[in-house]
Amino acid sequence: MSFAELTGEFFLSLLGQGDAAQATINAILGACLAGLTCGALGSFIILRRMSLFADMLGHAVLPGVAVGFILAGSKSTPALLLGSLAAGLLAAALTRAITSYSPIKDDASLGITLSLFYAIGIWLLSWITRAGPELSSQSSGLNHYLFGNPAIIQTVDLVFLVSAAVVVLALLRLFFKELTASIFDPAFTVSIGLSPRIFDGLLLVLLTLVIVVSLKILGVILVAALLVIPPATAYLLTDRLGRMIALSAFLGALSGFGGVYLDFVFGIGVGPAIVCLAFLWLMTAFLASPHHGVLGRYLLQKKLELKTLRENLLTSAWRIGERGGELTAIPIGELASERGEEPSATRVLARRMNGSGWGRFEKDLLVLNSAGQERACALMRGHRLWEIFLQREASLAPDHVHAGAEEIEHFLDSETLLELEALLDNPETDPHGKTIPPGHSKGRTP
Amino acid sequence: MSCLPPRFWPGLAATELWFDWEIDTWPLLMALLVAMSCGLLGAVFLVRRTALLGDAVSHSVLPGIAGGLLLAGIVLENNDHVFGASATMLFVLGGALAAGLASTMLIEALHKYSRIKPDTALGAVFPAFFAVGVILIRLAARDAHFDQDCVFYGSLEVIGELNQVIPTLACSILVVIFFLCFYKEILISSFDSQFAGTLGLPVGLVNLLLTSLLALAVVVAFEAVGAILVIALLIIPAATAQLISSRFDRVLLLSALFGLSAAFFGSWMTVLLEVVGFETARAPTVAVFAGLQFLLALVFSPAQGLLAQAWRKRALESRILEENLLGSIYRLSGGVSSQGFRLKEIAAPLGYPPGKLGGALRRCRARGELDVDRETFSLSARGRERIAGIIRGHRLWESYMIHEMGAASDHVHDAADYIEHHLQPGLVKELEELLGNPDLDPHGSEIPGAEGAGA
Amino acid sequence: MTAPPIEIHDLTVSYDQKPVLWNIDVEIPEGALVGIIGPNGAGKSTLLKACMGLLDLSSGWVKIYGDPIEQQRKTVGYIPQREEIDWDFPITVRDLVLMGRYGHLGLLRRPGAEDRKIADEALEQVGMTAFADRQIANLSGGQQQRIFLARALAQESRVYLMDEPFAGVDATTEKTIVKLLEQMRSENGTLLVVHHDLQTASEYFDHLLLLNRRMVAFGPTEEVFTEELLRKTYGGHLTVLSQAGEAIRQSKSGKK
Repeated sequence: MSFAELTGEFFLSLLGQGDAAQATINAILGACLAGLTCGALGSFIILRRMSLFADMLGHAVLPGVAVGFILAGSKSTPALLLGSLAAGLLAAALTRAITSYSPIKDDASLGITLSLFYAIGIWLLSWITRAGPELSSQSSGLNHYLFGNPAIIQTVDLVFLVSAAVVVLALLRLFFKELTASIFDPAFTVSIGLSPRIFDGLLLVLLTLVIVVSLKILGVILVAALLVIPPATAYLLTDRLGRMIALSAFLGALSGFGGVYLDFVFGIGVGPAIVCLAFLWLMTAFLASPHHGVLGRYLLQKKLELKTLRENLLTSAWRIGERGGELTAIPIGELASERGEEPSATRVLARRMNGSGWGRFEKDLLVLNSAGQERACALMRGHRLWEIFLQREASLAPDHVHAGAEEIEHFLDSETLLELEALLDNPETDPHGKTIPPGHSKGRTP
Repeated sequence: MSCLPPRFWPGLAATELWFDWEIDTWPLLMALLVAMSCGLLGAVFLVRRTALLGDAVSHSVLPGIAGGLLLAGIVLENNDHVFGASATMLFVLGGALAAGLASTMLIEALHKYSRIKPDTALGAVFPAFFAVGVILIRLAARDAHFDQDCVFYGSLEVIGELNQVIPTLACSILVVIFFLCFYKEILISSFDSQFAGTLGLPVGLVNLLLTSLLALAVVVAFEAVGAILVIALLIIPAATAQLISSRFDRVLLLSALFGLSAAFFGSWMTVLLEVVGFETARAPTVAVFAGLQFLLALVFSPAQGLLAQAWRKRALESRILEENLLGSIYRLSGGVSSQGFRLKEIAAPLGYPPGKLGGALRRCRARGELDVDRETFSLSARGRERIAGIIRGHRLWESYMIHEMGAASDHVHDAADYIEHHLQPGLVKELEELLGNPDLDPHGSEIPGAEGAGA
Repeated sequence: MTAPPIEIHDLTVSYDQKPVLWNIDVEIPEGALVGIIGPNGAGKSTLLKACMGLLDLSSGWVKIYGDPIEQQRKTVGYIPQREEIDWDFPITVRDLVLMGRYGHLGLLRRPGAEDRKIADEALEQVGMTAFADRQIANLSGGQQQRIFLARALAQESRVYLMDEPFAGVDATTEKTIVKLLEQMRSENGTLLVVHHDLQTASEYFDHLLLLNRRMVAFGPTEEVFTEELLRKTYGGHLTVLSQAGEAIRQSKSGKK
């Protein structure tokens, strides 16, 4: 079937009846619920720097699945859940014991527990698949706990997922302020009479719970990804914890839905598809987030560079005007000699004044409007005040202050300027003996 | 071990309890080689506190391996019999190296160019790479026969000829040669990379080689033990070694050794377990055995083990009890007379129930530090000598606290009681010099002479 | 006689079995603005943390108005060191200050209108109202210190423990902070402030606590800020102390 046909069938099955449609709907519900819960809890996990711990726990619940299966003799969901819950908590205890009673460091101890528990799990699974018919006939599908497979999601799994989601979201809501405080500032939390350890314990229990119920969808190796990647994405997009949690839960659920869809169409496996999608959002945010993205910051820097370049032209123009020249339309030749560069270079720069709102390049002239003249005046004033400040307060030699002022003039805001004026008693000349343009000038030319 | 008695297990021949060399030679050799190179490399990364790099690399080379297989399938489609498995291997290796490198660069970029913290970057990137790998493997498995299970379980069992071991053998030789040639550089750059840089050592090159070797080892281990179990071989033998020794060279050797023993005994365990009807895959058994070794070391290591720690704690407690017992008699007797005291009298100033001193009493008597006269105990010359040093430390410390630390004289006794058991001779000497060898402590009691002869 | 705001008795604190503060004895009087002065590694922050009950004590006790700290949590406000804060944490200035109310709220309850009002007033007092909706990384060093002061104000405590509130602050902001501290003291507060700079110590504080692993002196600034005592604080025979600490650690962890 073609891509379009499969897509059509996918969405039709959402409305449809019958076993196949029901399986798809179950898969979608399961994946979305898992994504939602993981996303919400994950925000606290990455802020608490438990990302790698979550990864460890994900791998470490495997022997619990195997033991639960062996003891129950079937793939009874509650048995497997209980087993993995126990394995997860045991792994957490072992990690802690290793770091407290031996010289082994945190991260190594995580690696040891992860690989040890995972190995035991795989070891037991390898036995189950080879064991006598009474076990191995039951065991088909146990491998789904490795990669996850929502196609095997049944109503009982959904019940567990919904209950886990309700419990996790309710507890996060109830203890929101305590969890926030204990992660952000543990010392402060103690100082108001709360123990961060209790909230660490709460996070640990919730984390194990979420991992255990999400296992069938994502599998042991990938489950931690959904706890780390959507929150990391949200972390790049917002500065508020509440929004971060909501966004991360949304991204998790979206990845869950998208993953089931991609698997339906391309047959690439739901778990891996969910993780790849989630990672795609992360990469997008990493590149394009307005404040914390690479692209956003690159553009911001470019904008700043352009502003600096334009302002430097303005101050050069001001210097020409100061010597009695024209400040409304400056010939490029004059500007070039003032700046000590080739007229062709200046021409290139002057063209970039277009669109600045300060003036434009026209007939080999740099034409400044009143806003441009005002800005030039303010810049010069800031520059020269700063020179005086450097000379007086930092005792720099007069011939050393220019470079510093050249840089700072672009960043002086009106508040700082006022402070400088007050500090320096509104001086009239700078250290080089040049007049300081008066403040609040209305485009006055000297 | 091959000389097990023939009827070790009733009804079983000895041959069933031992390797069947016709089948087991190559898998065992493979396991040994993989475990040794992983042990050596893992130890370096553990000592450098980047133990999880192995974790990350082992997950993230999967797309490289799968991609390499896919690409090899396309490029070598009809020529496979010409180039043979070695050409496919090259594709897989290249892919894995590229993927390993890409993932480490991406992790670096994520936390360098955004506010994402390093652990989150690590935790986000390697599952993502693994997911891509799983998808690629599914695609590869559609065209060719590719056993998905070996990603998890490894496939030591199916190794049946020398050909399949050769890449691993080459890798192990490379690792050993690298360690022999660059031992000094590895040591210094692991210990203090800035210092190594100032010495003009090629730190960057050594690190690059180490990471590349790690990726290489993970790739050749992939066939044997699967994608994830290799972490166990990278980290657990190294950690076991670190529990036994803290010297770099010994940690390296021990780590390789523990890897080898896990491979050998783990493989043997598979054979034995099969006999009792517990059939398991070989690779996870090796990993589990490595874990077993670790847990044993955690408890029994002579240097760091839990037992040794508990033993030392007990020894310290007994020593403190003995010293308190002797000290109490010394103080009761005023430091000079050889008057005897009853146990109850001795225990009273210490605030102990008399029974608590029973063990200490027995040990001190056995050592001849106490003279017994019916129910009373007094210090022998030897006992006096031992305790005079402690009392001297105690009283010097009180003087130090009052003169140098400006402590109030009614506060110093408890602190001195505590510290007297821990003062070493060098420190006592320093206190003497600092305080000008005083004769009396702040309470006016005499400070026993350095020779410990009392008066 | 009422109990003093802070009373420390024979306090010894150890890290990893190794004592870092030895036998501290001090009573801080009501309404004092105390600077804790001493060289690097003298245990200044450790002393504050011990007062807050953040550390296990090897010996001695700390009492706040005659009670153990656990019973006086609401009386004590704490400002942590800059380096201990994750400035990238997704939290706004207002939410941070609101955190000061958590101790009064107790479990499960969420801040109400009254708490918001108190938090806004605290922000107003430190002159940071305009920045209320900013994320805390987008502030200058001085502004960051001021919002933590605001959080302490919102706690409505009587005793404040501050770990280097002047770190990373320019001279002008430092003056503002000093004014705030004086204001807090005049409103019946007792302040214990870890301070790094000897130059300004005598100017800012009315009491000084000279500390270098043991307490060298405590008293009104004019009595304590003497050359002899300062020399004792910054010099002195302290190698013995650290050697003894190391000896205890080794014999306890069983290394030869």
